Amino acid sequence: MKKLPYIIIALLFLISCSDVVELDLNNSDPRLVIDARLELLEDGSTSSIIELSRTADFYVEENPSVTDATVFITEDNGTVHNFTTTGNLGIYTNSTINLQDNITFTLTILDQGNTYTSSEQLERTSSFTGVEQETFDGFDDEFLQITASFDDPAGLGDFYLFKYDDIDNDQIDIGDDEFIDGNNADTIFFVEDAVPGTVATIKIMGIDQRCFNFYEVLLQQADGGGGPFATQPAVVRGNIINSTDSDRYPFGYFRISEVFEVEYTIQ
Amino acid sequence: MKNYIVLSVFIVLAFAKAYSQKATLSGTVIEEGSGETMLNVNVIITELKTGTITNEYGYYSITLPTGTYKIQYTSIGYATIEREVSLEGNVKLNISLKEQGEELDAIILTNDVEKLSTKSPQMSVNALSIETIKKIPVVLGETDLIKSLTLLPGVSNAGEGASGFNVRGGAADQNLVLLDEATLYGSDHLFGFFSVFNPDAIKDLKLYKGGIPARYGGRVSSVLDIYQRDGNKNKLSGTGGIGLVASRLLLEGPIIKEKASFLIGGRSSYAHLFLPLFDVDNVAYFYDLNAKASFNLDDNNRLYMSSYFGRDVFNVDNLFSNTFGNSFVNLRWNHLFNDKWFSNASIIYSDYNYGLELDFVEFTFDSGISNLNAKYDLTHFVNDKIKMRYGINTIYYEFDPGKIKPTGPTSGINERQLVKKYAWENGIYADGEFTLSDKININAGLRISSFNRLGQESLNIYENNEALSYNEELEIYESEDAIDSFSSSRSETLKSFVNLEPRLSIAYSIDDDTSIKASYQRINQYIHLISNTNAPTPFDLYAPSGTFIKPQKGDQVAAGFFKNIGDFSIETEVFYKTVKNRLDYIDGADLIANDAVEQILLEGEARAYGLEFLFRKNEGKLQGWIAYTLSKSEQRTPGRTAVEPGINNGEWYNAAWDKTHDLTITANYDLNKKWDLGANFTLQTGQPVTYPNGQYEFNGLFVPTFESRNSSRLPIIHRLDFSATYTPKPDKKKGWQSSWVFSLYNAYNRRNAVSISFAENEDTDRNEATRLSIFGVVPAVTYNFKF
Repeated sequence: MKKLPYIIIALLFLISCSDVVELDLNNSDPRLVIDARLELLEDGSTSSIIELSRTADFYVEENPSVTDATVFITEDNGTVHNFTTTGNLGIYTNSTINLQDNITFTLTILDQGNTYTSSEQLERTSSFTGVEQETFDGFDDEFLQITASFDDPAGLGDFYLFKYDDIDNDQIDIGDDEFIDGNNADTIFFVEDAVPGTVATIKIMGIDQRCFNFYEVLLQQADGGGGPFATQPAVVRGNIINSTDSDRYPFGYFRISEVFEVEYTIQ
Repeated sequence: MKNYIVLSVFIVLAFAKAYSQKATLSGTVIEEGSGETMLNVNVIITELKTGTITNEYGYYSITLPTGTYKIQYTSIGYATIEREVSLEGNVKLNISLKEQGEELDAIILTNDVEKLSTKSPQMSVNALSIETIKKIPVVLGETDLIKSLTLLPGVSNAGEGASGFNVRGGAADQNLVLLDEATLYGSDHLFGFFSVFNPDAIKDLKLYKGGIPARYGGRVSSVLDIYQRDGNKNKLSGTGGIGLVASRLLLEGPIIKEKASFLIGGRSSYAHLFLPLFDVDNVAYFYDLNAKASFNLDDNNRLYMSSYFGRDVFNVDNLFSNTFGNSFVNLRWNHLFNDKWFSNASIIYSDYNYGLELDFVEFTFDSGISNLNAKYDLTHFVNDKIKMRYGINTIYYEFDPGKIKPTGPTSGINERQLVKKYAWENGIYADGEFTLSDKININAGLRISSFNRLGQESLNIYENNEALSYNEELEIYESEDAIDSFSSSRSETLKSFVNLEPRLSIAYSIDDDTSIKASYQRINQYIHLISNTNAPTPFDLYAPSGTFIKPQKGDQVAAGFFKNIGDFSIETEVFYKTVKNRLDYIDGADLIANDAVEQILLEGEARAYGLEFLFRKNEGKLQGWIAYTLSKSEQRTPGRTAVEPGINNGEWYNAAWDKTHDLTITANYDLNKKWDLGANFTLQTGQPVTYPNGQYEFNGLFVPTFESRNSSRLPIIHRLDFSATYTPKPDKKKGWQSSWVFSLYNAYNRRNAVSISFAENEDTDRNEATRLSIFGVVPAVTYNFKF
């Protein structure tokens, strides 16, 4: 919600013109990119997925995935859960973790002589109470506004990660309860070209403040920046450290979230 | 004994010279016809090779040995008047100057109007007459004060469509923008495409880039001092124009003939300005209103009331509406105690308001800054060698970071007023212009400024007084939560600052047409624009200094060489400027509706240095200038401790508006009575940018990784603009008079990049660098009229 005023700025550039240019860019060393997520699903089961890839030069279209790393998660009590990968997508899974409150899970990844670690606990969240849609034609295209509601528990300090998926769209948003504390609040997605009958999945995930800050920077940087009103480009630092060589820090995040999802058929 | 006699004779002689044979010549200079007071008119006493200039209210005073003198009154664009004055006692001489029409060419007295300015210690000033500004070609034909100023050395901005302007490498919030002495908090409409000043209402403007006199304070980089016209005291008249973007109309006339006048002007852009292709329910426009009334109560008392109200309005159906702008009201009283003491008292209220309504989230957000400013300034025209100014200034501020209100019963938003902050800023100064000898002129001043942060509700308290901590393991800055908060009454002072601000300018005249000058200034800035974008946005708000934010402290030294050669003048200056306690923001800082900005701030420093060169032709059919600036503007925010990296690893990085080379050639050619031609060529280094040095995918998002901040450059910017002014009936001086201004912006359609963004093309999945350029070739026509 807080970044919405920036929409106004976008208006301004409608009178401008843009074209694709070829630029020689500097390249940096490849770094490990970690997308580690343990999710407690509505039915009480746990989904444990860790995706590993590497950064690449700007113009590279398909980033290399990492398939030969050693990945495991350790619980407080010393229980070790090993992750395995098949195929060449760099997706590591495990089926032995049972997420519970107040247990610290420590992620360890061994890759090319470097050890990466991070520790997190489960973050709870609320389920959706309803979904609505509204069509509005603010600009030249017709947009669909999909609003999903949830009850924010009273008391500050709740942070949310939202995800919208349908066959054509894939969007992420974040929220905090600074201005909506204790209310039935909304997350809003603007969807283009959605035909009636399309099935969309909307997810709400519990995160902590640090993860919220991480996504906030990530979403700022993800649109590529530029322009007089763009915020300063920044390195998006996550919660995973390289304990072998701190200068070669990895990108990405390790989060443990309770997740609720709702399926919605567009009218 | 003999010695005593010699000494007493000497004392008597000195006394006699000082006190018995002097008389004061004073008066007001007005424009013939309109009765408008004229500022900066040169009053030259030919025999003594001395003189003075009229002040902001058209008043002048000079004390000379008794005798008979030829006095010249000169001002660019006006016919010079020469009067013989027998100065045996004090003489009051009011003068009216006649605008220099073409038919007057033959009788203009040739006189070097710039002569005095080489002698004056004031340097680092960009002055442009409103007539010159109106002839400069501009985008979409809309005369623009700020854009015109950027054509002079030392002034730039962060690119086309960026709001604000940057003076000698300073940030946009370091400029003090005064309109009739009232502070404006934003100088643009529509995010920087147009400036807020209606050219028809403006009398004069001056931009001080350095050597800022002690009567100004509060912003470390520059002072843009703009005066509105008083209005025609003799007859009702009007000025206006119809352009592609906006139309304007201004009416002025006498309330009491020769005694009192009014001026009221309005300007509005057309709705749907930038949204012509879209639904009719979408609206984007701006408007501003200027009003002024002036009363000559008697010879010694004048009263002025001036006001301004400007707003930008955006409204997109079903999505949001957005209104913001400046306004002020100012009451001023000029009083002459006698012919040597001039005083001015002002009471000014000004504010900036930003309002947003988001229909689909069902809330409104209102924020702003307002201040009440009282000033009293005294000028003492001691004699022809000394002019003193004294003054006192007090400003009470209210900072409103915003109020959020739900607009409907189904809104998920809680009503909340972010904590308002209050402060009280004071200044007291003395400033003198001294002619030490034929060759040396000095302007020395001292300002004492103070700032009291006043009590407020819930001021946060942090453990160890640290609102921001550094997480060594993850190598990120993290906001600390307040451990407690306390409220105090507004009559209490939470934190106070007192600072001395010395100012000094010296001019040494090598000969009548050549001088060298040097200056030093220190200025403290107590309010800070909280903004982490390249150029300020309308929703950026000012925050006061206090427990967590120190005042910015700016020091600047400058030196220059000035020469007049016939119709030409050359000005060369070098400067070096430092600013301490410049704010920077941690990565990902969220500034909007942030109630505790101390949790995301780091303090750093800024510096800028450069060389400016201006070659100007002021007279003749061909007028214009070549301006070149070579400069560097940087910022650095080191960590607070050895383990912290600060911003950009604590290394210096280029400011977003840093332009190594900046060359402008502006020319105006008076072809004949009907046609006036203008051209303008600009060549600049591209703005600093941060390019990616890699990329990765995370959660379906394409994320670039970046090299160090602002270490690359956008491509070189260059552009050629033309304008032509056609006056169908140039000899018509009464009734309806009109002219057409044709302009061609960016004549050869150069695609100057304002930004390059990096993203994955959704259709082709290719990673692309996309150049954004705003204006291609833009032809425009404006119809101007006068009656």
